[in-house]
Amino acid sequence: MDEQALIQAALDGDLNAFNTLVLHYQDMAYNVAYRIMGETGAADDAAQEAFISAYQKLKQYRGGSFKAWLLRIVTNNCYDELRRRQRQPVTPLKPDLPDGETLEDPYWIEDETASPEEQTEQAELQAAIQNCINELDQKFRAILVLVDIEGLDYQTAAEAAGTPVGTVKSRLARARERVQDCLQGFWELLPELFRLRDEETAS
Amino acid sequence: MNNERTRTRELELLSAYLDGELSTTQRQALEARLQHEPDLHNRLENLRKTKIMVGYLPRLRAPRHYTLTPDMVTVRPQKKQPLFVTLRLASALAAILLVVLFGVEFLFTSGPLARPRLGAKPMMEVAVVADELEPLILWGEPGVGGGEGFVNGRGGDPEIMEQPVMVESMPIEPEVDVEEELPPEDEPELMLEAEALPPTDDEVGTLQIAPKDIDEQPILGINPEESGEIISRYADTVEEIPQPTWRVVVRVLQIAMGAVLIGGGLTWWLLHRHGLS
Repeated sequence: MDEQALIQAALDGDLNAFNTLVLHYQDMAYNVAYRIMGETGAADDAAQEAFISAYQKLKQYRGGSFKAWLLRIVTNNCYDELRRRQRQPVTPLKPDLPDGETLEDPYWIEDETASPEEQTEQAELQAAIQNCINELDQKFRAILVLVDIEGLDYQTAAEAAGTPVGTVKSRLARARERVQDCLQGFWELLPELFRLRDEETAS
Repeated sequence: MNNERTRTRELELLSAYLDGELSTTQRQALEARLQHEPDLHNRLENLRKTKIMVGYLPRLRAPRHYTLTPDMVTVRPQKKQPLFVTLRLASALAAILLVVLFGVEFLFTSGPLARPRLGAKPMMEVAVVADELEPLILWGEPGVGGGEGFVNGRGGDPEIMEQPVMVESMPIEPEVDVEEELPPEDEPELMLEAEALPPTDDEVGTLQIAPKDIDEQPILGINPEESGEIISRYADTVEEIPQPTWRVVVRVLQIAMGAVLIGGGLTWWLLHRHGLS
């Protein structure tokens, strides 16, 4: 895929060229939106809005990493939506499990070879991690998602978040430490290999 | 404080080390410390586990395609919100007008353009009201005052009669011989502010001239109907001095602008708070 050619074609009004870019980046956009928002419906809206905004603002793209530019639109959309929800809190609908517990996302269950019990444990662990991410402040959350989940380097993450590299570095370190502290509350869910040193000595 | 700063600095170094974002010299220095500092090594391992745990989260796939249709990307003119815009505009205009009105009022009342106040004016207005009352003191006709020095008078010393307090405010008229009997319409006008308030027939009537029959009426005395009473003649008769028209208009406009400002601002704030802005 020649990204720059597709961008130029889109700038010339070729919507199909832009849709090729959409298909390439849509999973990444949705995943980032979901990890920041913590809710499927909101992530779906944010991702769709991000692609519409990207097409309408394509003339503002000044080269460089298109992925970072697109992720910046996605994260900004998420921030806007989170701010709006802070003003008007909503209670998302969550699918109920047979035992009365809730899962935040039906996409959790991916390993079809695992037993139902293992699948439930995986889902609980992932829910615990997502809860710890959701407890982070927005600015810390976005950096953690971009680097640790999307695997961006610091420079690209800085472009995507619209902050200096030094800020990415410090925010990421603090975000990791806070998630680490949070995960100690779910010690029994953590695989033995991943239990933290302090917990091991405590036990 | 320094410990906290050092700890934060170490945390950032460890985190960047995990991501391979340290320079060669930073990395070598940190690795040397890690070999001799087990606590620092433990912190690094915990951070590494946390990073792996977060990365353990599955990458989600988009639940649908987000491809765009021509209809989705048609640039539509943004919907204007007339209520919101009008409220904002009205509030801003009201605020400006309010400031201007207060400024105008200040300039023409306390400021450099203010007129000096006339001290005599209230007195004149009081005099007008007072003249409408029935007189408490009845002045006798000088000619029948009864002073011994007068030919016709019996009322007392003629010099006293000739120097009443009101002499200064009496209209300048040709001196009349006190011995001449004046017709009623030519009686001297005994008023406090004669120049400002020319006497009318009614007013002349209030300054009753004692009838010539001195046996029936007192020359200078108390109104018999009100004798023995302490009367405040002005308490219920002095009327409030009306404000100038322009000040009333300015005041009404100030109240109106204040109401628009407060109402518009409150509504704007409510709309903004409920996300309707």
